[in-house]
Formats: sequence, C-alpha cells, structure tokens
Amino acid sequence: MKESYIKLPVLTGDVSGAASALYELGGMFVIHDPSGCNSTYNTHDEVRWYDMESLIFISGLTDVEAINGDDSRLIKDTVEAASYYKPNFIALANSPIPYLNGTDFSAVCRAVEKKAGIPTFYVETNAMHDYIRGAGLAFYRFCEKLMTSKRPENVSPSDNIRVAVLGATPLDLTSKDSAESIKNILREGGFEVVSCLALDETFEVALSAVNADVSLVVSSAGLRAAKLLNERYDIPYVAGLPVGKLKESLFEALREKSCAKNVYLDFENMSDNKKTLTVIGEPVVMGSLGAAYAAENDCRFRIVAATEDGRELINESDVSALNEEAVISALSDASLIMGDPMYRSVSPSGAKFIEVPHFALSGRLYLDRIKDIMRLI
Amino acid sequence: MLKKLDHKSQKAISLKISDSLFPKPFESVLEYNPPVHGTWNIVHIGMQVPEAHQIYVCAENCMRGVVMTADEMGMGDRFSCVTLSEYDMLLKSLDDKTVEGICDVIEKLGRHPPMVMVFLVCVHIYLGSDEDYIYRKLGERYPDIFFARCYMDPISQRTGPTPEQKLRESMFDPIKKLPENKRDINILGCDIPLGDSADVLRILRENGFVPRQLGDLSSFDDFLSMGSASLNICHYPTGDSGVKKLSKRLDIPYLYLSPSFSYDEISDSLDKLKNAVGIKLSGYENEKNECDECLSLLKDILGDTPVSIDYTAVPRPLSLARLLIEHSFNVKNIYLEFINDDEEKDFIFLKKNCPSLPLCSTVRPELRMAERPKSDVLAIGQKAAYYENTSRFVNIVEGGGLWGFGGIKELCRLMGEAFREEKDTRDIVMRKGLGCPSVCAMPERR
Repeated sequence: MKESYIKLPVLTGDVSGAASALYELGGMFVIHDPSGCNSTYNTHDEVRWYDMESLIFISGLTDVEAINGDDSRLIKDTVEAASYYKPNFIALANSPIPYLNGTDFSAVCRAVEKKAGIPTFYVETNAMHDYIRGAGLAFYRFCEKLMTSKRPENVSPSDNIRVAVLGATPLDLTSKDSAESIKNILREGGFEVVSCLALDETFEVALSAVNADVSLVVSSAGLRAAKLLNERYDIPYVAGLPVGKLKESLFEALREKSCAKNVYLDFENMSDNKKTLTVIGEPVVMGSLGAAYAAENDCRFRIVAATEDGRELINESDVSALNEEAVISALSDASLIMGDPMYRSVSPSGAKFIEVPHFALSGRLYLDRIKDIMRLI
Repeated sequence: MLKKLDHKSQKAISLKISDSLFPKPFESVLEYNPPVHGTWNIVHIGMQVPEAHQIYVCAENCMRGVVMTADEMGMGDRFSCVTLSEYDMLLKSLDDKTVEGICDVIEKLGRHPPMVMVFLVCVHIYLGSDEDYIYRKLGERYPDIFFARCYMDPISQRTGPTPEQKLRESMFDPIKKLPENKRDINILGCDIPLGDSADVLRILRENGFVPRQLGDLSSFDDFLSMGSASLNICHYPTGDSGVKKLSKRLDIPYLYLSPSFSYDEISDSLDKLKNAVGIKLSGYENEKNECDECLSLLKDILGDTPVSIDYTAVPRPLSLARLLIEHSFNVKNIYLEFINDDEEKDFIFLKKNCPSLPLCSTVRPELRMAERPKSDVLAIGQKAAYYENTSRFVNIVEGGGLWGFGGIKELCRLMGEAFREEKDTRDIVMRKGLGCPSVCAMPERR
C-alpha cells in the first residue's frame, strides 16, 4: 500500500508550508485546528521561530465547535488578536476537521475582514498534502489578494532587467545565507532584484513583485504565484537556481524573458556520457543542483520529484514519487544519487550517494550539515 | 510593521492570583506556541514500553510531528505510519483503510512486535469509526500481537481526557495479573523516574521492597512482569487515571502520592505508603528540619533573586511557590494554564496571603510580541526560563524525579547549581522530550 511508511518520514505538510511561506510578511496566520499543528510546525519545520517573531497561532478548535459548526469563536478570537497587532493581512488555514465539516472559510474571511478592517484571505490547506501545495497556495493567495489588480502604470523604466524571486522558504533554502546569495548572484549578473517572496523580505517590498520584468521560480512553491503574475501582469517566469554552470543559461533565459522555461531540464541529456545522476527532492532545487553537477562532471541526470505540484517542472522522462513505495521504486536502479541522507535507507545498497539534506524531509536531523545551497556545486 | 507590546498588554498575559479563577485562570483564545519543547509527547511516552511499535494513521501534516519525534529520538525503527487522503475520508471506508494500512505496515516490517500501539486520530472520532471493528480485524489477522488502543485526538482534549492521559491508560493494557510478589512495587504514570533522592524510593528500598519504574525495564517480558506487583503507586497527576485503571483491572492496591511540597502533605503521603506496605510509622521532624536548613542555605545564596516557576517543571507549581514564599523567597511569576485539583488549597492560601502573586499564561497570543528583556531570574522550568529570558534555570520536566523531603533538598541543590552555572537556554529548550535521546541539531541563530 503506497500510503504506508516504514523508513522515511513524511514531508513537511501543507499547513506548515503555508505558514513558512507567509512568515516574514508581517501578517497574522491562524490555523483552524485543535492543537498540534502549531507545535509540529515550529519545532520541526521552521528555523526562524526562536529568533524572529511572526504571528502564527492556532484556533484551539474543540469537538463541540466542530460538531455544531460553530465558527463564532474563531472569528471573534481572530479579530481580537488582529486588533492588538494590526497585521498587514490575516490568513486562515484549514486542517482535517474543518475540512470535513465543510467550514465556509470564504465567509469566515469576509466576516473577519469586515470586523477587523484588515485584508483577510483563506489558504486552502487541509493537512493532507505536502508543503509545496501549502506554500504554493499561500504565495498565490497573498499575491491575488494584496497585489494590485493591474500593473501600476507609473513603473519607471530600468536599465537592468527586474527580477522577482518567487517560492523562497527555509523549507528548501534553509541556510540563512541562501536567499541573499541568490540575490547577489542575480545582481552580479546585471539584474535588479525587486523582491524575493518570501525570505529576507518585507511586506512592502514583496508586493513590488508587480514591477518585475520576469519572475524567477526558485522552488515549485513559487509556481502558482508565477502563473498569477504572468496572467495578471504579463510577467513571464523562468524556473531554476543560478548555481554552477547553470547560471549562465539561467541568465540568458531571464534576459530573453522566456516564459515557463525550466532551464535546468536542458542539461538532463546534454552529456554523451551514459553515467546518470539521479536527484531526488523538490524538482527546481534538485533539478538545478543536478544540472550544475552534470555540467561539472560530464554526466546526465534525471529528476525524482518527491514533492507535489511538480509535474510541469520535470520532463516526461522524469518521475514523480510522492510516497515511500514510489521513492523505493524510483531509486531502485539508480547507481548515483543526490538527495537527503534519509533517502539512503531506501536506496540500492551499491549506489553512490551525495548527501544534500532537505529540511522539509529530515527536519532538524541534519540541520548542522545544511549549507548555502548556492555554494554546493 | 510589527511592534513589541508595552506593559499595558501585560494584563492579558498575566493575572494577579486574587483576580484568577480556579481551575482555569485564562480564557481560551488563539494560542501561541513558544519554542519550548522539553515536555514528553505521546511518542516519547509510548517508547517506554520495550519492543512496542507505534503506528499512526492520520493526515500528513499532523503526522509530521510524531514521525520526527521518533526520528529525533533515534527510534524511527519503532515507528511507522499510514497517511490519509481526502479519498480515504470521503469516499472510502476509513475503517478498512486503517486496517489495511496497519496490516501493510506489519507485513513490510517483516516481524511481529509483541505490542503495536495503534493511534487513531481526530478524523476517526469525528467520522464515527467503528473502533471495535478495526481492532477485531487486526486481532484476527495477527493474534500474536497485542494492539493497544491509543489516540492522537487533540480535538477532544478540552472536553475529555488528553491523548497523553488516554495513552497512560492503554499502554498498560497488555499486562495481566500474575502471582503476587509482595516485594514488587510498581511506580508508574510518570515519564521521569523518581530519583534516588525521592523518599518513596528510599523508604521502599530500605525495607526490602523492589520498586520498579518503566525506565528499569529492558524487555517486553519485563514489562509484563509488572503484573506481579503488590502495590501500584503514581505520583504524577496526568498518570493517575491510567494507573488507577490498571490497578482496578488487576486487583492490585493503588496509591496516588501527590508531588506536594507541603511538609504536612508529604508526611501524610508517607504514612499512607507505610501503612500500605506494612512499615512502622515514624515522625518526620528530622526530615523537615533538614529541608528548612537547605532552604535557609539556599536563601542565603539567592538573596532576593526573583524565582519563577512553570507547570511543566513541577506538577504542583502553586505548592512549590507556597513553600518558597513561606521560606522568604522572592517568587516572581508562576506560569500555568490550568490548576490541578491537588492545588486547590494552595490556590486558596496564596490568594489570601499573596494576592498580588502573578499567574502567567504560556499560550496567550499577546505573548508572541511581549517584551522579554534579559534577566537574572532563577527559573524553575523551561517555559519560565524562556519567558523570563534567563540562562539560570532548573532544567526539569514532570517533577524531575523529585518527591517529598528528599525531593525538596535535591531541588535546593539544583536551584543553587542553576544560580551558579548558566545554561544555553536556546539550545536546551528547543529539544523535545527532556531525558530522551536527541539526535538533532538546532537552527543557526538569525
């Protein structure tokens, strides 16, 4: 049965992914759940919790409230907390029980927004998906609700191509240096970074993504927002990390303002060498590292996408593996693997393994081994 | 831009005891979860049963906390899970999926653990799962495995027992009545074993009894052998119902010895214990005098240093506060969300005699942005240490193995040590399950 797990943990969930996405943007995030989601998230899935404040709370839903469909305390308590903090926005997240009883979050958001006078939106999590789904929806709903409906007309021209970085969370870019590294590399390439959604970023700057000429999707968590910016403001998007020899190809795609271009995929079969690296994890990050490694070592690579919503970010020849059984199957014939150390336990015994810890999988287990991802290859 | 709250917000996060209601001083509103995780959760608790395997059946986001707990203990090989999807909950039989998933796990394990703790969750309760059907099917398929009925259902915890309380009942279900061994006495219901300083252990050992705690057991057979005890003792409020139920089922006498800091209560408890096991009663004047002396020496060391206490450190924070106040210590804050029935008399006493003593919430949303200036408060407990932003704290949970007069003396020693030796609060409090292995790293500072 594909839903049973013996050796691998589950990935960070969608609720935690949404919280992580919105962490630094000055909003208030309320998880409608009895208990546990908050502790799980801030212990295992959030590196900023001790040192950097963010207004993330749990509603403390009770069985009586769930059975009666009583949302009044959720609304009242959210409005009350918002009146203390005056956050930039309020986001509500769902969990299994409110999902099952069909809580009308749209209506709850309308009620909260009316009473609190603060923009309020719903992120459609339900705890049954992974962090890419949750973070992706959170970025999307943030942009949808809070960015202008039309591109501002008074965007002043720029000598440099303006790039909005999308999909950045510590779940993929865990080192505190990674976001700044990405920005610096882009700047060195002659680009202007207008925003980075949402690491080392303020609310106001995050909204200025509408001024971008092109978006750079650095994780599949940014794909939905990238599509929204494309639909609403005609901002094209490119996916990939400017790492190693991939950097120049990525820059070229940005300069050309290519759209829906997954630059790292061009490197999959570039080599004549039949030696193949299998990368496993989030497809944009691992695909980029795979491309950089392949270019450096004259080999091919393939992607095993272990996260949801990544089908558009891999080739048809790549594989999506969303549970332990699928991962075992996908790795069964791999001789060279790059991924989180926990995947060793399900890799063929003779395979060579290059460890790249992934916080969204192994959590704090290998946290001290996580380096700036931009300097790995 | 988020701002730090000023002192006017203090009202919402702390109350004078004179203004507080028993047993719940603070209203339930949105909850903040501080980065303090030394308490034990259901994974930690369940791992105390040697050779038992835990299987959780729930949604992915909820699963993450428990699976990572097991992995951070280095015990991922005793943990498995089955994830649930929308399809399972809405279109398929959740009960069948649960049975199939657990069977699949056992087949993949390639072995039959003597005990499997099956954790059903909120959705099972909410959707009205037929638990009898689930366990019957599992029992038919694997008659050699004992399936314990456990829960991860926080949705029910405000109106009924918590998942921890339920686990502390069901984890003992495999134990059967065995021929009694008069010398065997079980001390159960608390995850932190009583230390050598505890009067209960000392008295029992001195009189030829063999007190056994879960930490003494190395095999499942050892665990089952607890059925031979002549007496069960519990000293931790959350474990009371579970050990009581075990005792009733096995017809073993039961004694709850509250972890009080009151000399009178301790004396009464020790008399009850001695009567139960046939030890001659004696006075406790020497012990009381020794405690007074230790407290006096500690007072000389601490002077007017403020002391704050939290409920995760000791199950009777009000009792401890009362002891310290009666010995002229400067008790600054008591952090708690709920006051146990055990503490009602202490609550009334403190309300009358120390009306301005603050009770502080640990989860109010206002706490997220409350000022936490660095302080030299001596904290007892990790949450007190965090909220007081102090590096001087007694790092214990669930009473820390302290009990009685010996416990008071040992606590004095720990407080003196904490006063002298600073700790890395950030690194310590973020680790889960104090006392359990912790094979993880802490995030780099930002």
